Amino acid sequence: MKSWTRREFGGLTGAAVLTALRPRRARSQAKAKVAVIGGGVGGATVARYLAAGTAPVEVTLVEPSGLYSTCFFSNLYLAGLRSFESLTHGYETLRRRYGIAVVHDSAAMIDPVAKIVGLSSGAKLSYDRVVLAPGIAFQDGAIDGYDAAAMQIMPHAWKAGAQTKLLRKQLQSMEDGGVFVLVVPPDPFRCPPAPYERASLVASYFQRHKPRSKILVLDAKSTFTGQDLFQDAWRRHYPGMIEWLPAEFTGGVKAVDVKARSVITAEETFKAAVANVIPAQKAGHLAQQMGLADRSGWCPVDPVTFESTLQPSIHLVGDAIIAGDMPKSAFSANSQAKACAFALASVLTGSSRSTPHLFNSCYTFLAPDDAWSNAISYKPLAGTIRAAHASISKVDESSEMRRRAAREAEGWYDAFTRDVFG
Amino acid sequence: MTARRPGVAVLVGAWRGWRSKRKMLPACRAGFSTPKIPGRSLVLAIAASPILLAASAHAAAANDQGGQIAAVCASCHRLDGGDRSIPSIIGLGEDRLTRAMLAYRLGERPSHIMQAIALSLSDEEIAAVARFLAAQGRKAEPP
Repeated sequence: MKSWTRREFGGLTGAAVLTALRPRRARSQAKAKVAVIGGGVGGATVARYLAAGTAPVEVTLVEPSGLYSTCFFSNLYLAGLRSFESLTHGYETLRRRYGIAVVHDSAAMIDPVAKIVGLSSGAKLSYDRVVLAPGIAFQDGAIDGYDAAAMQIMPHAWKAGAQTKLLRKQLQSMEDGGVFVLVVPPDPFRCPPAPYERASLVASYFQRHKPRSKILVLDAKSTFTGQDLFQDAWRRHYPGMIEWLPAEFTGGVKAVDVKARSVITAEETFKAAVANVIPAQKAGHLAQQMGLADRSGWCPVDPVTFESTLQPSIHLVGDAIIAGDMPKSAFSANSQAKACAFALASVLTGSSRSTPHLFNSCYTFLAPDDAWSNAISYKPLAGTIRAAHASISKVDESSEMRRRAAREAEGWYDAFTRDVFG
Repeated sequence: MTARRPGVAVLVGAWRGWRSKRKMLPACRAGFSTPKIPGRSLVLAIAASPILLAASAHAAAANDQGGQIAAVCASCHRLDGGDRSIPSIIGLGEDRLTRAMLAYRLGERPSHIMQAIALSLSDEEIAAVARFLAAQGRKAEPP
């Protein structure tokens, strides 16, 4: 008899949980075809949960890139606390273990009448149901002079990859005593606490390597997520290093001058040694092109099935959607993706549908050994998604609790990326 | 050891009373004054009926329900038996999982994340996911 390694044994256990979700009546039917467009957290999770949970579904995942680097935890990389490789994941397990056809191409168009996805290579993909996880795009012209060329000088680093590496390089080569200017966009944007976590972790890097440097946060808003927790930590860990200027102090960021490496607000011009400009956001390009976004720039969906309310038969998950109280985060995308996969399985097999369990949780680093956590459950309500129960770290909780959250965060990353990429 | 801990029934009773309080939360958020909490006996009677229903008529559906809730667990807990600072929940008994969830819900075990999860689940949902995870553990034992 074969001896079981822990890894093989574990793999089967995970698969067993997913297999148990398989609808019963479906076996006799022909395989339904589901196309998932976009291999980020939302898209990969939908593909995985559909493929593992419902035997009669043939899943194709369309994603141009062969590797995916997570935006979450990339602030640890910027601070030199994690390698870029540790943030990077492939699609091999989804292909091998779950039988998902992973096509490295991009979707150029979708014909919802003929039910065909046209790929950039010219190939066509027919489907019974299609799920889009298009992520975010940047609003054009929100900041004067901030174009594709400017991004190579003043990176946004808000989609993990070359931009993140560029920002890391700039921070490393910055002289001690320089000013790091971080431009924060208006709501809604991907991962609300992340700009402030970035300020915190870059401060921890400066403290270790360039202690005379300063961080200037130019915010488009007048309050932010976890403000009391962040500002308390900035006083404790990095006294005098981080200055946060809300929109009412500066009149908001209007333009950048790439040559002078300066950021121009209505009131003042700030010279930066390194500038990180995070632009205002909207749903990804394919969603815009397909008319799935409304005037807000984001995509309205049914809160139970995640089907577009503008284009029925197309489902959407992740940062691109209007999800009521749910923030735009990888965790939200993963949670929505599971709900969408279960809803699709019900639709395709005619089984009864249950109310989705929607959840978001996040670990946010204030320093390498100081993290706060929060968690909120959500319920579909009156056509949207509303927060139901919340629990969040407090300013006065013990340092042991914070250290534990920082340790847990590492374990969470490991488990979460396995849940997404297999 | 058993004598020192409150029984599951006691815990359930205690948090049901608490749950009636948190149902008032949306009203508080909307700016209304906090309404009076209804009497405990009434709350218990209302809360008990769906559980009886689930136990008799929807046993099969409960397995799917347990599986779908287990999918929520999988966002943080590895379901392959591995654990790296977040403990494995595979291979634990149904009773132990239920007790842990109730303790999180009461705030007796500190974790923001587990508290929010436990508060979002009804008794029957906690029972369903505990049963489901315990069964996975048993099935997964190598021959």
